[in-house]
Amino acid sequence: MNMFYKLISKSLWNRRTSVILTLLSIALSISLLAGVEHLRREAKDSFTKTISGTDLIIGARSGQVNLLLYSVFRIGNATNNISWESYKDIASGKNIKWTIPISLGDSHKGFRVMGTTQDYFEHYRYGNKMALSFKQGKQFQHVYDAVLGHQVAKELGYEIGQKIVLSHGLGKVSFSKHDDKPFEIVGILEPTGTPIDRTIHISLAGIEAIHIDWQHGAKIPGLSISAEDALKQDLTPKAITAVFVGLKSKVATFSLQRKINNYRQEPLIAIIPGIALVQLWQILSVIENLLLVISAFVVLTGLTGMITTLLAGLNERRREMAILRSVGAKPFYIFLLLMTESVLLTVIGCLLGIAIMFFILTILKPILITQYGLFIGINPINSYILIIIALVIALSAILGLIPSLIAFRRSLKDGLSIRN
Amino acid sequence: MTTAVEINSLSFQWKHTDNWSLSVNELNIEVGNKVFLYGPSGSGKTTLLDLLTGIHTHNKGSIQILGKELNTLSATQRDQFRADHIGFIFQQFNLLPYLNVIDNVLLPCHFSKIRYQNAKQDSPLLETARELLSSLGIDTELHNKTATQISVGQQQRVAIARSLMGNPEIIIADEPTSSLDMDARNAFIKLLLDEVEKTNSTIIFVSHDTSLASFFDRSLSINELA
Repeated sequence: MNMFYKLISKSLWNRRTSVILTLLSIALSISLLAGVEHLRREAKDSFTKTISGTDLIIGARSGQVNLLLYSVFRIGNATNNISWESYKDIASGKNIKWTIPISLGDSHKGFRVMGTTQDYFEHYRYGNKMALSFKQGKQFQHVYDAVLGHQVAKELGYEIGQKIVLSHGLGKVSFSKHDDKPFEIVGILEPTGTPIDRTIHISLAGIEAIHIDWQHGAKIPGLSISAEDALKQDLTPKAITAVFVGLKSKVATFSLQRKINNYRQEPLIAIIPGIALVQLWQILSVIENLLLVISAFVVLTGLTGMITTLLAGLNERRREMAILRSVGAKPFYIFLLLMTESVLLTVIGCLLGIAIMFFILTILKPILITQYGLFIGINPINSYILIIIALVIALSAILGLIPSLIAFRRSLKDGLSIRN
Repeated sequence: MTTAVEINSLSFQWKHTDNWSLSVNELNIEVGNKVFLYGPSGSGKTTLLDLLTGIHTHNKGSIQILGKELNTLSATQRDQFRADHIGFIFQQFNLLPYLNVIDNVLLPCHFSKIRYQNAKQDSPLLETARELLSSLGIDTELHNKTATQISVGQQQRVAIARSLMGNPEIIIADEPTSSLDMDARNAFIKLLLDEVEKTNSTIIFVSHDTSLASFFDRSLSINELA
């Protein structure tokens, strides 16, 4: 081994307790920084991939973000509905490839119920244009069939064939239940890592059937229509909450959006999911940036700790410096020894930090998927992380100048005399 | 015979002080000389050694080492000059505590090409170091031990080996026996002088203990040089 590196490695090994603690503090701070950064990117990635393949989302006129939140994320409520006539009119447009009408407003034990058509299972896409697939069972066929998202079945312990009662409204505890018209679970979806996992899907006719003897959010007194009798009635919905639209040609997206925003019969709004998602993410980015700033400061603390340790060690190493000078080491050589030490410690700390994060992510991945439906890639190495590490190493070189210059000046002044 | 050290009307003064801390009127040491330099504390011993080894430069007069005027060299050149031509032995704790005995002995060869070439002229580098250690009574089983695992006397003998490695022309020993008892001291000096004789090096042995002067060709006192 080259004597220079021998001097560094043996000297570091000689001080291994403080060196290992220093390495650990750098490694932990790096794993925090890289971990936050990784989760941030992964979360953004999975967030913006909640819905894909849909060209427009149409709802009653309100805000862009509001429509996105209730139609895609099942957060908040629609302020108004779209009439079935308007929907039929839009769906028959010449550029329309497919439409998925959805109807929201009911729930089951805190999970939202969404009425839709079978087109949903055929055309809805998430992630990288991934279609929904069934873990068990199949699509709903009958009015009183229900298809559960993965998380719903898992959390409530439901199985195929079981009957469930839906509640009116969205509260976790509801006093107005559609208990006269129970639904049978016919299918359970594979996990998607999107709000679909927390949704109960039934047909639009099912939504219509459970509300047939209701008005203004309450049962009509004295009127009670049984489940069987309801089937005999016309179950075409009068209104829906929103529509997902796929177009034959993407070029038509903007003109159709304009057309719908100016729709005469009813005030409507059409949003482009990709653009609305980015807008929504920008609202969240304040928190994400805050997290990043905090972890950057933690890294700075780690590096400062290292410099403090090196500085504290300098006094004990005066003899070492004098011996090196006596055999001919130039002060610049001493400077380089110290510089290399701080950069080397940081490099090892960074590698260790990445390894720690890799380890934690591996352990965390199955938990995140099963508990939170979050898909996190394990591989944290990307160009961004590499840039962060390069910056941290550069910073360590700058901070390393402090002990290095002190050692340089001291070895120049002390020479061969040993002062303890 | 060439001159190892030649000093003429030397004055040294620390910056920002008025009083001269050291002056040497004349000092000539021939190559191969074994010189005892009596230097009680406060005599400017440290300053003189700093000047001889090129750590500091003098303000007036001249110091020539092996015919080279130190004042004409840059700080870096003086460091290299020291690495190439001077072996230094400290009072105590000569060795880097985290390196083993062999690596401590090899250290000068890392900083000086000349000493590296000299050391591997007759036999491989490692072999030269081992032979040197053996002739100083450091057995092979000690070679891979670290400095803290061997006795003080052994450490000082390893320091001799290091100073002689690659045959520098001048050996400077700064009170190398102060940490040894009487018997060990005499044995140490004899061993040192024997080894120095083999390579025909010059030795400047600094001590406050005048009883050691009898081992040397020449005896000087720093106080009387002025």
